[in-house]
This record gives sequence, structure tokens and C-alpha cells, in this order.
Amino acid sequence: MYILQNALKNLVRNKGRNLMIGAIIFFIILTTVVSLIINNTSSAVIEDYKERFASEVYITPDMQKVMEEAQKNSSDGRVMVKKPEIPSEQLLQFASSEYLKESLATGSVAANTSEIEAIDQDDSNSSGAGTTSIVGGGGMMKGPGMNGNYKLMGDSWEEFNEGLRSLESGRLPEANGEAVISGELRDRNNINLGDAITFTANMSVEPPSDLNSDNVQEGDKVTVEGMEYTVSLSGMGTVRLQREVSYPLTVVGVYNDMTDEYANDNMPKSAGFNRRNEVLTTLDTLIDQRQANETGVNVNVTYYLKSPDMLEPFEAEVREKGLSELFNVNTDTASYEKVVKPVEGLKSISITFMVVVIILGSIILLLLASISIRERKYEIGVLRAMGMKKAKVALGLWFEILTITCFCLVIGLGVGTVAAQPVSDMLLQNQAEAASQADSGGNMMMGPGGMQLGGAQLGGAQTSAMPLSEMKISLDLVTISEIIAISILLASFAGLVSISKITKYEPIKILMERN
Amino acid sequence: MSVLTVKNVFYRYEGTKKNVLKGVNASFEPGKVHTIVGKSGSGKSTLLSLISGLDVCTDGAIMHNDQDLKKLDRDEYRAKGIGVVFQSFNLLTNATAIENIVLSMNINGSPEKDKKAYAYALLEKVGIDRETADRKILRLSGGEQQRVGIARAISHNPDIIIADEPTGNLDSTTEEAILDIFTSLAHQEGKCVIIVTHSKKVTTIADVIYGMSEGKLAQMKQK
Ligand SMILES: Nc1ncnc2c1ncn2[C@@H]1O[C@H](COP(=O)(O)OP(=O)(O)OP(=O)(O)O)[C@@H](O)[C@H]1O
Ligand SMILES: [Mg+2]
Repeated sequence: MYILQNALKNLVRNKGRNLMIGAIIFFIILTTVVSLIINNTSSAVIEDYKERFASEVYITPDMQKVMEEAQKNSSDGRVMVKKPEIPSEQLLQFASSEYLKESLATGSVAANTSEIEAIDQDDSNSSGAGTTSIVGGGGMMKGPGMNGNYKLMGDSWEEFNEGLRSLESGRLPEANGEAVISGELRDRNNINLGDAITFTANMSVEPPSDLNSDNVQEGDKVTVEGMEYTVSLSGMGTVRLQREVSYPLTVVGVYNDMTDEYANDNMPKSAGFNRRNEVLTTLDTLIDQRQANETGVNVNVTYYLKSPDMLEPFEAEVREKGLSELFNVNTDTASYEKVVKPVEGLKSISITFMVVVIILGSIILLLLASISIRERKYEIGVLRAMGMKKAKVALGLWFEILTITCFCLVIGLGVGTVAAQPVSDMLLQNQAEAASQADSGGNMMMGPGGMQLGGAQLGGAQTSAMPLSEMKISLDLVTISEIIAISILLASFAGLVSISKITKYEPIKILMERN
Repeated sequence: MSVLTVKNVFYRYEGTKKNVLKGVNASFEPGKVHTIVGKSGSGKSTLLSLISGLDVCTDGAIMHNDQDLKKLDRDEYRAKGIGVVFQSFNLLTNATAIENIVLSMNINGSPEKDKKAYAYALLEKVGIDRETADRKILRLSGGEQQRVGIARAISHNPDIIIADEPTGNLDSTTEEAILDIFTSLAHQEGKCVIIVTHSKKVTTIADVIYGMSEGKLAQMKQK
């Protein structure tokens, strides 16, 4: 106890020296506080942006390649550009990659049923579930509604996460074959939980190349890979092969819907577009009815990389699995870089600065400590001559330096927290300017957004992301403990120098040297 | 029956070739005042530093109650066993007189409850008043510092008191007062008192007188 007391008294006895040591420690701590706060905050920002920009994969058609391909294939000079599609089977296969943090697969099928009536029922569709309705002359082609009053949605729970939909009664599907319907649909048809409704939908298959409008007729039955299809011919003479599948679904829940009935005002008020007619079930339920070579279930998979730098191996993997060269595989790197580059710059500046200050500070501290120990040698000799043990002398010295450090720590944390924000703002502004200059320098074309022409809904990348010009600085518990750890380390380091010096001397030698 | 026995002790300062002590023999007893006299540079202070446990002899042995100082915990020995008045005082110059005494009592594990009051009283006894006791050592005269040194040496009530020229800076009245303290420590309290001195006055109170010459010690008087 008296050691601590004596240490405190010593602090006052040797004001000048201790103020100098204190000033250096204070400077180191202040720098550390500011740097660590900036560093940790920028790490958080970078993480956040990684998630938001660089981890979602966009697989978009490269329209230039698509055009070239189409030109190559045209025999009569008429170029027919068809938007390439990735087979849903492939999309699902890609999802199993080890480079992915997660993937969200959803699907939808246009369906019909005669058992109930849809909201805004469109009777031109009601028979549409049948095999013949699709035929309809050219004019009938108006989108998904053309062959279904309902949409069966597989694993499409996003609206629930966003709070736009909520379960009003029952539960969400847990097994295949279960479904939830909208409250409106239930009310119109007096549906109870547990009721079964069977929907029908059409699956189609690519016609074999030997099949054309010359050798088949509307309504003919054709077998492809063991399945029987009905032939329909479009106005232009294209052959389509379709078969009907049925989805017997049990209603296990009812959802409350706050989404707009129609996505926008320009849409025809047709049941197929009305969101109240969406029947939510599992993706597997939809896929089970489908053959691998068939289209009809519209599958959509969003992939999230574990980290942005895994894009390359992921692309290699999906190409291996058969992704056509007509597609580009991208993340929104442009936005990511634009936003994150300045923050990364800031982060490395702050760390470099901190390391430099800690090293320089430690050297100064070391010099100061060894100078002060020389000054204090006599004092230590006296204490040792009085019979004070080396360890206690060392403890006293350590107490002194620790007290100075604690004092500096409190002030440093306070001043540092206040100073961090303006310092960060200033540095970030410089970095953002540098980044935007580099940006205009050339790599404008890098972003998927810049490349794609038609696939807007496929790759929703916006390169309009603004570089960060402000970053909310905050001091969290981790940062505080990091700072405390660094400070104690610093104090111990300075203390260690003193201690190693005093253990070298016997009291007689110290006293003799002076006498 | 000696509390401290010096047996054929040789000592050479590190880095030098010449022995400063060349086979010193002596024995110090409780209840007696021993003085060591001798020319300057003859090795008196050196011998005291060995007896004080600040250093160990190159050859020979110093026994404290039949225990070799070489093998003893000399920190503990310095703290509890002895009190030393150094020729050059060796006080903490940045601290006050009272702080010096209290710190020493703390280090030596003095059982005294009110150490400060005890220290004031002790300083009073060696002729340091309160006002002086609260001044930093730097601002004390040589004689005052010497008296603080004496007070510190006896503050923890050790069995052996070693003093190197304790009255060198004192006027004769104060010298007498100090000598009274040493005599009563030896004769009344049964302490072993060892004083190195040039002063005739000091030798008059001695029970045993040793003469130091050229690193050798010879007993000159035994009461
Ligand atoms: N640290 C040292 N290193 C080397 N030699 C030393 C050291 N201290 C003292 N000496 C030498 O040892 C010898 C004895 O010194 P010491 O201090 O013991 O003499 P002393 O008898 O106490 O003299 P004084 O009466 O002047 O105090 C002297 O010759 C001195 O020069
Ligand atoms: Mg001497």
C-alpha cells in the first residue's frame, strides 16, 4: 500500500519529468484512439458495403455476344434475337457452390384452377389452363396472364421479411404440397384451412429439330424423352410442345397482403398480374412436377458470395457446370470500389499513422525512461540500501508509469473521441476526391450496369452509388478495450525498461557512483 | 557472545587490483559502543558497507548471529536487522524529512500504528523540530541531514546500529546530544552500536575501539 502512496507522491515530487512522460503517452494514446476509432468504423463500413455491393452475383446476358451469335446463325439475313435463358436446372446447380455464403432460390408458375374464382378473374384465361388456350392468335400474347389466373410462388418469402405480408391465420408451408393464400382469395371463395385446391399449369419442352409445322398439326401428341406432349403451332409457324401438370395444394395458412395489387398502373387489370392471386408454396413443390429438360417453372436464384474476391473461382465453377459464354458473371464491383476505396484508404492511413506514432512514441518513451532511471538511480540505491526489495522498487516505478498512463488514457479517450469525427471527415474527403479522380480516369465500363442492355431485371446493379463523404464515427467497447490494452502494454513496456535497469544494480554500486 | 563477527575478510572493489581490506577480524557485541578509527582511505567505510549487507566480501565471512551474510536475504537483513547512518546520508532528497522516516518505517515493517507521530517524536529527539521535519531534504543543512539520517537508522528499532562519521557535521553541543542517544541505545537498550569516527569525543564514549590501517583492523581498547 505504501508503495502506491510513495509512487503517487513521487509523481508530484518530480512534476517536470512526469509531465514530459505524460505528454508523450498522451500523444500516443490520442493517436491510437483516433486511429482505432477510424479504423474500426471503416472496417464496419467496408463490411457493410461488401455485403451490399460486392457479394451479390449478377449473371446477365452479354447482349453484344448474343447479337453476334444471332447474326452467325441467321441463314437468310434476317436476324432473330432471342434473349438467352439459363435452364432452371442449372441455376439450382450453381447454388451448391462452396464459394457462396447463401443463395436464395424462388420460382413461379402460372397456373389455373376451375375450383375457385380468382380476384379480377379473366375469363379469357379460365380455359387457358387447358392445352389449347395458348394457341391463341398473335394478339393474345400479353404476358403471364395469358395462361393463368394464379401464380404459384415457390419459396418466395421476401415480402414477409420486408413486412409487406404477414400471416393472418394458420402457418407457413412446412412440407411440399402445402400452400398459403391471400385473405382476399379466401374471402371470395370461402376457403378454410385444410381445404385442398388443385391447380393446373403447362410445362413445355424444346421440340426435337426434326419437328416442324410441315410434319405435325395442331393437337398432335408427340413423345419426347418418355413424356407425352401436345403440339401447338404459333402464328409464325413455330412448334410448341406442352403438357399439363397438376398441383394439388392444401391450404395451411392465409396471409395479409399490403403489397399493391398491381405492380404499376399500366398493367392490365388481369388476374394473372394481381398479387392477391399469388399462392405461396415451396419451390420443391413446383419443381417436382417438372422434368429437367422442361421450361414452365420460372426459377430465379440470387447468389451471395462469401467474399467478393471469390467471384473468379465461382465463375469458373459455373462455367464448368455449363453456363453459356453468352452470360457475364459479375458483382457490382464498380459501386463497391467507388464507395469502399476511400474508406479503405482512410483505414490504411489511420493504421499506418498509428503504427508510426506507436513506434516513434515507444522509442522516445524508452529514451526518456532510461534517462529518468539514471536520474533516479540514486533514489533507487537509497531505497535498496534501506532494505526495499527489487520487486517492490519495480512495482513502485510501474505504479508511477501506470498512473500517468491511466490519467492520459482518460483524457486521451475523451479528446480522441471528440477529435476522431473531424479528423475522419477531413481524411475521407481527401480520399473520396482521389477516388473520384481515379474513377473518371477510365474504368467506367467495368460495372455490369454499364454493359447490359436489356437485362435490367436480371442484374439490378446501380452504379449510381455515391462515394462516402461522411462516416459516422463511433466508439464501441471493443475499441475501448483495445485502447486500454495498448496503453497498459505501453506502460508495462516503459516500466520494463526501468525494471531491467534497476535489477542490474546493487545498491552499493549505485550509492558509490554518486559519492 | 557477539552478534556480528568479521572473520578474515578481504575486499577488492570490482575493476580494481588492490585489496582494500586485507584480512579483517573483529567481533561486535550487543550492549556496547564500538568505534573504528583510522586514516582517510584506510577502508573504514568499505568495511561498514560489508557489515551493512550492501555488498559481500571477496574472501572471508561476516556472521550475523552465526549466519553467513552471504547466504542471508540481505534485503531483509538491511530492512530489519540493522540501522545505518551513511557518511553521505543517503536520504531521498526530493522528499521531506518526515517522509523519509515514515517510508523507512514502512519498508522495515515497523509495527508502529501512528508512524507519522512516532517519526516526529524521533526527529524531535535528534533535534529536528516540526517545521524542519516538513521541509525537503534538499533544503536542510548538512548537520540537519545527518540528524535525519540518524533518526532514520533507529526508526525501526534495529539490534545493530552502524554509523559512518555520524557527528562529522555537528557542533559540539549537538554532538554530545547525539552521542547520548548512541550510548543509551547501547547501554540501556542493549543494542550493538558501531561508529566510524575521527572525533576524539566519540572515542571517549566507546567501550571498544578498533584502529583501521592499510586494510587491517586492530583492537586498541577494551573496557
Ligand atoms: N567504489 C570504489 N571503487 C574503487 N575503489 C574505491 C571505491 N570506494 C572506495 N574505494 C577505495 O577504497 C579505499 C577505502 O575507501 P573507504 O571509503 O573505505 O575509506 P574510508 O576509510 O572510509 O575513508 P574516509 O575516512 O575518508 O571516509 C580507498 O582507497 C578508496 O579510494
Ligand atoms: Mg569513509
